[in-house]
Order: sequence, then structure tokens, then C-alpha cells
Amino acid sequence: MNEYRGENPVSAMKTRGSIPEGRQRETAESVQLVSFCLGQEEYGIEITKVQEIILLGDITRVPQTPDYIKGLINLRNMVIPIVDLRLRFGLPQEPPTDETRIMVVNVHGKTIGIIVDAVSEVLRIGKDQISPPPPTVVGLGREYLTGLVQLDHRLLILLDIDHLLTEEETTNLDVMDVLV
Amino acid sequence: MSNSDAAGYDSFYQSLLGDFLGESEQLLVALNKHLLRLDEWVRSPSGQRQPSGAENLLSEMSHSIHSLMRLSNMLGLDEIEHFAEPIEAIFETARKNLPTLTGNAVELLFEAIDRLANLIDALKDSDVPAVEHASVTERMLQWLESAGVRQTPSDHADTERTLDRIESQVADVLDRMAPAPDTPTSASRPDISSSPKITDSDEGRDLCRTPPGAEPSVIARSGNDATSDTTEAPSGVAQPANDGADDCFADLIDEADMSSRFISIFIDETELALDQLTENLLNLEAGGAHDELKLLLVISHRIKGSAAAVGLNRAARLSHLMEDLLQDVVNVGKRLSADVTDAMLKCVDELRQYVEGLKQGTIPPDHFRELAAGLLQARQGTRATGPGSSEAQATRPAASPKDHPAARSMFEEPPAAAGPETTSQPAVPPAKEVSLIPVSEQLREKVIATAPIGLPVYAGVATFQPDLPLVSLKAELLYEKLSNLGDVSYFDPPPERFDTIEKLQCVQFGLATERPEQEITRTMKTSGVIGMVLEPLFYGPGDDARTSSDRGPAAASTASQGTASSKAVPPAASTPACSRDASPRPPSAKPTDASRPAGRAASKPTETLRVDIDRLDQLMNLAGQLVVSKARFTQISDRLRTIFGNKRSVLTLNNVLASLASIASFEDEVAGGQKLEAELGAICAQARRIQNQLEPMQREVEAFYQMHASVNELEEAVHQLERVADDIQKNVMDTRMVPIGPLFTRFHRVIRDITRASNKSIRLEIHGEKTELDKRMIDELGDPLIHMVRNSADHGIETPDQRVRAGKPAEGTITLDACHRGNNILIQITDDGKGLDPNHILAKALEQDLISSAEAERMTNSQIYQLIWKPGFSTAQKVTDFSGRGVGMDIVRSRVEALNGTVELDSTPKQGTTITIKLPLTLAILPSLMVDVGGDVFAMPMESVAEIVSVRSDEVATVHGTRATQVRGRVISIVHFDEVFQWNTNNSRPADRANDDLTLVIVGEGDEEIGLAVDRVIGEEDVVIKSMADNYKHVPGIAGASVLGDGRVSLILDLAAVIAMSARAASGATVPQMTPV
Repeated sequence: MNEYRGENPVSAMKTRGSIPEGRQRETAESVQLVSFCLGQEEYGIEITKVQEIILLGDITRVPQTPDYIKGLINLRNMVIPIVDLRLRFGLPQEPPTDETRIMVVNVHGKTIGIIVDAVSEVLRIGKDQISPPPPTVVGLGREYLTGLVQLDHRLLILLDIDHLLTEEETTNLDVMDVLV
Repeated sequence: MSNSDAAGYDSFYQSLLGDFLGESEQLLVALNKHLLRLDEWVRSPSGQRQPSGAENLLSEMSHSIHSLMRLSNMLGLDEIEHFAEPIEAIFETARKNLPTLTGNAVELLFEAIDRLANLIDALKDSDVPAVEHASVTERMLQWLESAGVRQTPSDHADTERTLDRIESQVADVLDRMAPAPDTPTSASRPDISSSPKITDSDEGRDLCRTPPGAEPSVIARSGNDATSDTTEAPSGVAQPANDGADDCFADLIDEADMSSRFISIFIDETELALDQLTENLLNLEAGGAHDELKLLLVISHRIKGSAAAVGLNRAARLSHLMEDLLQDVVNVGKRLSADVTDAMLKCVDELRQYVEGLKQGTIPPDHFRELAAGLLQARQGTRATGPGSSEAQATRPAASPKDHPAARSMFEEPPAAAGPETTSQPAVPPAKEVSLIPVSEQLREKVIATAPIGLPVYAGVATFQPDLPLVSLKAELLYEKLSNLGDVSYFDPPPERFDTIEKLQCVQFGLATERPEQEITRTMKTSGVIGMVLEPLFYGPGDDARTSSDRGPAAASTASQGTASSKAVPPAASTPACSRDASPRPPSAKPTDASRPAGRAASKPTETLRVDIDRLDQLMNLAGQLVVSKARFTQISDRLRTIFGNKRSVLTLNNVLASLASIASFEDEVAGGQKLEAELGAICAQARRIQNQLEPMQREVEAFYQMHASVNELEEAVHQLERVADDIQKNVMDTRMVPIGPLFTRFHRVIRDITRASNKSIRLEIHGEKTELDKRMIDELGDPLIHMVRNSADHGIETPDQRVRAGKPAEGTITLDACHRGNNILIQITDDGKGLDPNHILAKALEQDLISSAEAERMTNSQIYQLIWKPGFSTAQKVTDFSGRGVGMDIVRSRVEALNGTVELDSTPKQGTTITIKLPLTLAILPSLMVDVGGDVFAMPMESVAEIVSVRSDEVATVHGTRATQVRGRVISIVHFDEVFQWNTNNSRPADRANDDLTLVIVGEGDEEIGLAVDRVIGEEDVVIKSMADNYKHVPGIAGASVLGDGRVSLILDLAAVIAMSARAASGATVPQMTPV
């Protein structure tokens, strides 16, 4: 089995995704976000949801799963599923680049990795900076948006990661019922 | 304390609850066992049955349920306690009145015990809906009423309970009323009239706070406690030994032949408890909450319990004293004084030493006696400053002292018209047959008359249990005990009449001693004695007896401290009894050290440790990881060895260098033309340069190859690691193993219920109950086994008539068997019933549309049998209470498969059915066959792998459109993974196919065999199962995932599901497509 490249659990936190312990606290007025890129858009999720950011490693594919489930990886002896957020949002699949990362998030007691095009930075924004998603936004992940943040020259889409991955859970459960 | 209060106890409460669950489980097992025997007894023809048999059983059960009640009381589990009350009452009633014990009563008891078990189970899991038990309680009460006992609480246990409740309520009130910790002691002068008598309260604590009504309860309990404590002791601790050696430590002997297993449990529990005690004591001293006191009490009680259970009577006694002291402190509602803390800590230290000694395998000499004195002193100190008079009076219910004349009527002498005992008259319920006999005026006079000079004198009456067998022996025993304490000046009945006594209500005695009264009461605590009343009189004859009424506990304590009386009075005329009894203390007063086997050379007990099973799971997991890492190391070292395997490059390099050297030497040898020479010189110089450059390379290569030795070392180290890892894994596995016996014995009850309900006669045979299984596996196996046993009993075994007609014995047999087979555990359920009827099954299956008629025609018997595993299948003609709803067998199968096991069924018509469950030894590690399919590595549980074959492509034929091949005469259909599984991701890794031949892994059993085509068989490996559902969800066909030696994830196949899926795929039903999201 030595022909396989070992999965690399080494945290890639040396990049901009570095999250010092002390800053994880969020105050009432402000919230800390991890922002990442997906296609042309930039998204943000609450830092408290993010466990770590790792490099894309060897993923073991799993049958009987929707296409956006890329498979399983071994994260320090824990087997976690990997969701390709591009496919989840219906974006075309792209070959991984040097920037591609797996964000390991904790959702409802489960640990799940999501593949994103790049992790950009950790930023703190005031809650008043968040505006509700305009009703005109339709399509991809519309229902998983919690708000928009207007930064200097870019727009950050806040993602309801719980909702996103739980939805996926339930849909899969339906599928499972059919199968079993 | 109620349940909600108890929540405050946090983790400690949890651990207590854990203890309770463990203990109650044992008690329930015992109850069920005895109940089954009682059931047999009830059903046996009345001519043959021995009343004593049932009586013993009932009293055993009574003790069990009583222990359960006490435990639940301690933890504030009111619901359970109250539910257990009527059960105990039934036991007691039935014991006294055997004819009331009918089959119905036993049935009711069974039901009640079941509910009780449910109630206790519900504690384990808060999600479990509340257990309905009111109806059962109602029926039990009805039964009791019909038995005529409900209204006559002659049953002392009954009274005791009522009173216990009053007591606890009072205690609650007291708690609430408890004055601020530092109430001035002056305000809490003892109320003299409140406790003029020293009663033999087992926990003398009650003296200060119990209302008159509660006194008998405590007293009654003392007798009960003594008995239950002894009977609780496992392995039949000799009761007489316990009774005979009951002098407070003086001749209290630890049991000589304690099982080391029990001792180790004691050591284990006690060490923990002692730690907790110390911590709590220190907390309290530092100003901890009042609640901690109760904890202390509970812990002391626990030590007492476990010590008594293993027969360490001395340790039990000491902890009992500790408990008493604490109870006093609790009652008084005060803070722990420094004295008390000191005394307690000393005891803790001593107990710790004692436990240390036990660990060495000896029963160490102890200093319990000295400590006991300290405890008693501290206790008196507590009491003296104890309950404020106002408090005592406030909590005293306004019960009229003359409420219960019945108690008096029991007494031979008319009661004194006035005097101390009137106020302290035990408030016994009216019709109580058994009550304590108070000290009469006559007795007092007699005692005064016979008392020697200069010593505190006590008058006492010990009341026996009604109809106590061998009562004369008990009386003699009491007499001896008293003689050890001091001068027995009066004893009625007189000792010379002991031999002729047959019935005895009580003994009355006068005792002159310097010992404190607590010691006397404790000494007198013997099984059979339901209680006693002890009254300190004075320091000798001549003192006014009436003055004793003016003495409260304070006075009593001065007396007990043995203050020499200034009122020494000349001896009165001695009665014959006195002249003999006043003789000096027998020399056997201190036989303790001599009679106790000093430094017993018994085998050293194994120390045990209670461990949270989750931790074991974790450990198991880690051990599994270690095994994986080990595999990785092995791979690395193998690879290194091949790299360093040969030294050819070194040799080559040497050769090259040699050649270069010879070239370089040409110059010297060849002398010729100038030009040629110059050219040659250039070549040689070049060669020399090459040579020079190669030399360091050569050195490096040599150094590199010297690492070969290191590789060998590495290999050795890896070997070592392998061994250690395997050992760790094995040992961790072993720690989780528990025998299957208790699980099996549960089925006696199941079978019994079925036989009763169905008029069948079935015998259950159990083999291999010592076979050990993973604890989790045992937990999981219960339900499936019950399903199968019920099925066997209900559908398999015929009625006696049918059996006789078929030439079989009328009694059917169901055998449960467990054994090890290699890496597996086999569990077999065999019945000698009618077996499965293939036609019947087929008909049913067709009827239920489980198969098509075309399929039905092709099926072999063995295939037909497999139909019973289908969901919804049931052949039962009628649905009974026990089985036949058709939800059983498929659940059985899925449960067993969830444990990575398999279940097989074999049946011979008219001869019976055998179901075999095959389970891996453990849940966490799965021996698997690793295969490579198109670059994906899969683990197939070895359990399901039948064989691996290689077939040439020309051996593959097509049958009904599916590819198949013949393997030794069997037709095996070939299944490719892609036919079964749908992939959404293209494979990133190339297939690693050896050749054109097909490698088939044949999986499954019998007619469900399929050959899974794989590209390469990697080998066998122990994989650690990781649940995918933890972070994802269950995927059909995949049992889980595991981490390979190289850190990659591989999928573990759920072969049973794969077989089912392949059948579906073959039958044309497409595997449902993923619904795009």
C-alpha cells in the first residue's frame, strides 16, 4: 500500500487561517469569521464552528452517497466525511489547487470537513455590519445565507453552515430509507 | 432527600447510583432466582413440600428486598422504596402464613419484581418513559388486604416502614429547622424528659430527634439489621460466629475464611470510600455545606456494608460507630466539631492501614477498640451539646403517651403509674403484637436489690422476635455477652433454667458496669432480638430510682463514663443469681487477639478497580490504534530491509575504483611516444580525478550500507513492539470480558413464563456459562437471545400430547450453549421440538408476498429456512404474548450482524432446530481480509469470508444473465463491486490487477454465497472499526471505516448487506439512484 500518498493531517493553520485561542471569544457587538473563497464568491462562517483547516489529502471515496460527499479522511484517527462545497452548491468541479483546503467544522456534534477553494482570512466584524440577504438573491444556497457583510471593496456571504450540513443529513436520510 | 435534592450530590451521587445499580442488579437476580424456586415449591404437590423450604426462600427474598429498600432510601429513590414496601410485606405475610402463598401470589410477585427491575432500569436511562407500577402496587395491597394483614401491622417490617417514614420526615423537618451552625450550646441543653431512657436504637442517633412514635421503629430495626447484615454476606458467612462474637470488638472476630475475591472488592470499595471520607471531612472542617455530612454518613454506611458483607466484622463495627457519630451530628444539626473530625480521621487512618494489611493478605491487628472509645466520646460530646430543648420539643408530635396500651399489655407486670417510661412510652400502633417491653418497676426494684456497689447500674429488657427458634440459646448468648460487659446482677429467666425454656418473650436483666450504655446496646444487638430498652438506674442500691427520671442523656453519659459514685451503698442481700453472677468477669473477656488468627497466611487477594466502561472503550480504541501503528512499522521495516538487502552497489563501486586505479597506473608502465604519452597522461589524470571523486562516494555508500545493521535493529525493535502491541490488545480485550452465565440464567424465567402460559413442559439446559464475552456484546445480545428462545419455546416445542405422540419425552428441552471457536464465540440455541416445516414456511412466504411462486419452486429446503429471517415473516398460527408477530427473527439477525456476527439456522423436521450465533471476540477490532478493488482498499470481515479462489476467464459462464462459475461443484455467481455500489467519484487510483484471471472472494453461507471479484488480495489484517455514523451516517453495504497502516481510510464491507444488494441488483431491481440535491 506504499503506493499511496499518506493523508496529511498536518494543520495548515500556518496560513492565514491561524486562529489563536484567545480570539475565539466573540463579544456581543462583534463576531469573528473565517472567510473562504468558492468560485468567484467569498463566504464567511463563524469561527466557533471551525475546528481547524487542513490540506487536501487522500480521500477515500464512499459508495451510495450523493456526489458532493467526496468520501472519508482520517483526521488523527477520527474518520470524518468530506463535503465538496462546490458540488454542494452546484458549482462545476475544479481540480484542486495549492490553495484548496479542507475546513473541519463542528456541526451538531459531528465533525465534517468541507472542501473550499481557498481560505482567506480571519476577520472580526461588528454585528451591525451584517445586513440581511436581499430577497432578490436566488439560487445557489439561497436558503443557507444568513446575511451579507459589505467590506471595503468586497462582499462576504455569511453561511449558515449548521443548516447547510444538517439539510444534507436529512436528505441523505431519506435516500437511506429508500435503500434499506 | 428527594430525587431533586439528590441532584445536588452531583458526581458523587452518580457514583452512588452506579453502586446502587450494581447492587440492586444482584439483588434482583437473587430475587428472581428464589422466586423461581418458590414457584416450583408452590406448584409441587402439597404433600411433598417442606414448609421450611418456602420459609427460607421467603426470608431470603425478604432480606433482598429489604436491602434494596434501604439502599433506595439512602439514595432518596422514593419511588422504588415505596414500591418495594408492599413486596416485602407480601414476603413477610406469606412467610408467617404459608397457606396464603398461592400461585397467584407468586405470579403477582413476579410481576412486581419485574416492575421493580423496570423502575431500577429506568434510573440508568433518563429517556426511558416512566414505569407504570401503580396498578401492581394496587394489586399487591389488595392481596395484602385479602390476606388480612394490611390492617394489622403486626408485621414489624410494616410498622418499621411506616415509622421509618415518620422518622425521615422528622429528619427533614429537623434539617430545615436546623439552627445556624454556631448556635450557642447553652441554648441546646438536652431536654431531660425527652429521652429518659436509653433505648437500644441500632443507630443510637435517634435518641435525640426521634419522636416517641418512631422509637420502636429504630429499635425494631436493630434486630432486623443484624440479621440482614449477616445474610447479606456472601458465601454463607457463618451466622453463629457473628452472633457469638458480638461483644463490641472484645471478641468480635473477622471471618476466617473469606473469599479473597470478596476481600478484593472490599479493599477496592473501601479505599475509594476512605478517600472520599477524608476529603469530605476536610471539606466540612473548612466550612463545607451541611449536605456533605449526609455524604459522610452514606460513605460510612457503605464501608460498613461492604465490611459486613465480606465478614470483616471488626471493620464493620468501627464504621458503624462512625456512622452513629455522624448521625448524631446530623441530627443535632450542628457543624462537625474538631473533636468529631479528629476522631473520624483517626478512624479513617486506621481503616486505611487495615485495608493495606488486607492487601498484603493478612488480617492486621487493629486498634479499633481505642478508636471506638474516641468515637463514643466524641459522640457524647455531640449529644451533650446536642438538640436544643426547644427543637426537640418542637419536632415532637403531640402523641399521647398512653396511645398504645397494647404495648403495655404485653408486659407481664402492670406498668408503673407514673415515671419516666410513661413519657417515653413507645408509640406502637394499636394492634401491634410485637413491641418492646419496657423496664418495669418490679424489674427496677429487683435490679436495685441485687446491684453491687459502686458501679453504674442498668436495668434492661431485650425483646425477642416472636416465635424465635432456639430462643433459649439466644438468651444464653445474651447472658454471656452481658457477663463480659460487667456484673449481671439479675437475669430473668435465670440461667439455670435456660435449658428448659421453649418460648420466651424477653429477657430482663440488671447489669452493673462501667461501660458506656452505647456499648451495652451494641453488644446486645443480636439477630433475633428485635430491640431492647435500657435504663440507667444509678450508681448502686440506695439511690432513689425516681431520680433517674431526672437524668437525661447527660446524666447517662456521666454514669457511663464510669465516674465512681460517691453514694456507694452497702450490698443488698444477694439473690442466688446475683451471688453467682456477681462473680468476676470471666477471663474470656478479652480473647480477641488470641482467638483471631494473627497474620493469616491466606492467599493475597487480587486488587480490583471499578472502571467506567467508556474508558475501557477508549482504551480499546487506543490499543487498536497501536495495532495499526504496529502494522505500519512492520511495513516500513520490511521496506527498509529490501532496500538494504544487497550490497551490489558497494561491490560495483569497488570494482570501478579498482579499474580506475589500474588505468591511472598505465602512465607509469607505458613509456612511449611523446604525444601518446601526453594523451595517456591526460587520461590517467582524468582517471585519477574520477577516482578521487569516487572515493568519498564510496565511503558514503559504505556508511550507508553499514546502516544495514541498524535496520536489523529496527526490525528487532519492531518485533518487540508487535509483541507488546498484541499483548496490550489482548489484555485490554480481556478486561472487557464477562461470563455469559448471568445472561443465560435470565432465560429460566423466560421459559417459566412460557410454560405457564402455554401448558407446555420445557426444561432449559445451560452449558458454557463461563464463556466470556465482551461486556458490550453481552448487553447487546440479551434481546436477540430472548427472541430466539421464545421462538423455540413457543413455536418449536410441541405440547406434551404431541410430543408423546411423536415418541418424544413429554418435557421439551431447550439448550443454551456458549463456547469459544478460534477467534469466535459460538452461541447455540437448540430445541428438540418439531423443527421447521419447509412447506409451511413456503406457503406463508407466498401468502405474505415475500417471494414469488416461481422463486418458490426453485428453492431448496435450506433456502426456505432462510426465509424466516425476512422482515415481516411469521409462521405462527396465532400470535401469542411471547412471539409470533413476525418482527423477531429479522431483528435478531440485524442485531447480530450489527455485532459483526452471523446467525445460522439449521432444522430437522420433527427433531428440532438449532440456531447458531457466531460472534467475534470483541467489537472494536475486526480480523479482516484486505482486498484491492480498482484501487480502493476494502476490509472484508474474515467472519464472512468462506474462501478465495482464482478462476480463469474461460471458466466463467452466464446463468440467467449473471456471470457465474463453478467452484468445486458449487455454482457461485460472480459479483463485481461496481454492480453493487454506485460511485459518484471517479477512482483516482489505478487498478492493481495481477492478470486476466479473476480473483473471487467467496462470501456468505450456503445458498447465499457469492463470489466478489477483487483485483488483488492484500492479506489479513486486524482493523479497528470506526463508526461512520458518528460523523456521517450509515451507508448501506458499508459496516464502517478503519484507518490503514499508512493512515488512509478503508471501508469495511457489510457483507450480508452486500449479498442482499447484489441479489437485488441481479433480480433487475435497480439500486435506487441518489436523488440529486
